[in-house]
Amino acid sequence: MAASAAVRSAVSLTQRFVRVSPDCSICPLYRLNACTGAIDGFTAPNRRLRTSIGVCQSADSSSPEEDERVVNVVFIDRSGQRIPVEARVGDNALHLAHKHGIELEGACEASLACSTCHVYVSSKHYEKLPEPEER
Amino acid sequence: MPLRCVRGLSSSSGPRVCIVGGGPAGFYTAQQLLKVGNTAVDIYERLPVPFGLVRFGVAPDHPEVKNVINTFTQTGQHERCSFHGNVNVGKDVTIDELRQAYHAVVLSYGAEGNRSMGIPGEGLPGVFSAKDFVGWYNGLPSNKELHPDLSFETAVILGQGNVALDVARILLAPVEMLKETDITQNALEALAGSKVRRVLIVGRRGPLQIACTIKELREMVNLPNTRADMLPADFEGIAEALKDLPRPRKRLTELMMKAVKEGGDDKAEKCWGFRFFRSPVEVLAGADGKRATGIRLALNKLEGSGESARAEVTGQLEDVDCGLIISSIGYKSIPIDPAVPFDPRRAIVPNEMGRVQDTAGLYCSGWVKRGPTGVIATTMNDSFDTARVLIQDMEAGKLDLSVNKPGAQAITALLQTRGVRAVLFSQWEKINAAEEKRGKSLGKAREKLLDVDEMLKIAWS
Repeated sequence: MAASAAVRSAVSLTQRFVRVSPDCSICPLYRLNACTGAIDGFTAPNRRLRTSIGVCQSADSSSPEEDERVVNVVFIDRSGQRIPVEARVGDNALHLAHKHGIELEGACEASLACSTCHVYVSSKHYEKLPEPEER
Repeated sequence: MPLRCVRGLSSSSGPRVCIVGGGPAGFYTAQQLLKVGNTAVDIYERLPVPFGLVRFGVAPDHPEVKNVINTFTQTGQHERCSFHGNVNVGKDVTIDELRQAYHAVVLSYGAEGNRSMGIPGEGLPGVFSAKDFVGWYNGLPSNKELHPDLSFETAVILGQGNVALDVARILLAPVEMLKETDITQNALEALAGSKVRRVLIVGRRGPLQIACTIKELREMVNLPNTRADMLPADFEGIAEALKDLPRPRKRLTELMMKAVKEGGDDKAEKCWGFRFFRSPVEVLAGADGKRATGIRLALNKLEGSGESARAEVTGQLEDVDCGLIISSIGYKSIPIDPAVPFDPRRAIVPNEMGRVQDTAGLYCSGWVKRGPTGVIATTMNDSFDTARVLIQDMEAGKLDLSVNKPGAQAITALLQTRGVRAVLFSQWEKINAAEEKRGKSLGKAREKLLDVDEMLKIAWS
């Protein structure tokens, strides 16, 4: 399921996409009181075994101006319907979709553990991404 | 939790679908079918507990993968879905009986059998299928008496898929990494006392055909206190082939090459390695013939290239001393009811896009449909495909929805006459709560119940 073959994103969102920062306040699980705290696994003790490329919860995260910068995202669903939404730099694309009622499966609930949700980045934008690191 | 009284009397005119198998395929198929208004979906599962390989297959140190249980739980709690655990379809109730009670039946019962190596000595003590070994550390009731002997230095795993790598990782992981997971207590204690220090993961073909995915390989490379022990000769010509590989294969191969080159910490007490171009031909027994003490491997050469490359025998043999042999060459579906077509060669239910061959109203999804490969995402997509086809058939009038079908009401009554009582989803939740409570006192995510009778006692208490 090419979840994000349909996601047209600003370059900055693409570049930030690899930074998965869980924002509990927009997560449907949190809002439904069904959060198991799985997202907290980003800082779990066995994190060194995680595959999380670019999961950086660095203390010196982006400056306030960057965080406030709006990114326009257009989701295009299976039927071709365009759903434009407003996002912020650092948003998680899966949570963004769910927040706007777009059906995207995420079996491991955005833990980067299962490949159910995944992104295809157009080659033009792919060139602008840094090389993935094995960590 | 909404009150679920008078369920049998509700939605008398809606479609009723029965799903055989309460694992990921069953739940994902149910999830999609429930989107059709007024459709009632009943899931039948042999064990008292749901979730199949998510519970019994996914490694204990991959708890995030099990998050999908939250999605399945929502489905299980849906007012138009009812779960019936402890029902053995094929034995307690037949497929024909289900087809009479429902408008459509979906087979999602997976692959509970095992591909055997077919070599002499395979039945000797010390030889296990990966399916049983994984079932043992994951608390599958039928594997609770496995008692694998872990007092040997070297273990050999045949097969190089993700299951093989899971087994290798669980064998070599420090106990600290496992002790807070949902691994069974007896497996944890056995692993804590394990003398296994070296694990070889053997494949018939070469590095470019390896079936595991990069995440599992990365976890092996990053295991604490272990080093990689590979044979450079196995990697001849691989560096040159890299540039032409598709990206996922290229990244996987590059990581492997890095492990070959860097090896790892010389002071490490444990080691692991791939051995390529080798097929098992015989399990060797010690002088007394009582148990496995080694394995004889035939050396292969590769004909062709890429995914379709074939291993051809060279005639050369190699013996490896080892006390634990785990065969991880694939699960296998079995026929559960003679009324259902079954292809014994491919070990699947023959079907066209999920519609069972020559059998209107019967469908299949998951491993029993396509064969036992793929991760949860694969099964998810596959189940969605089957659900889509079933819904299309409903809309095209291929299933006679004008006839009222009794559904679970009739089946529950039938089972009662046979002395079979189902475990409902809310009753599984009691088992779930008990396991979490037991786990808490041990500092673990959960302590699984290993005994079906114990599960039933708690479910029906």
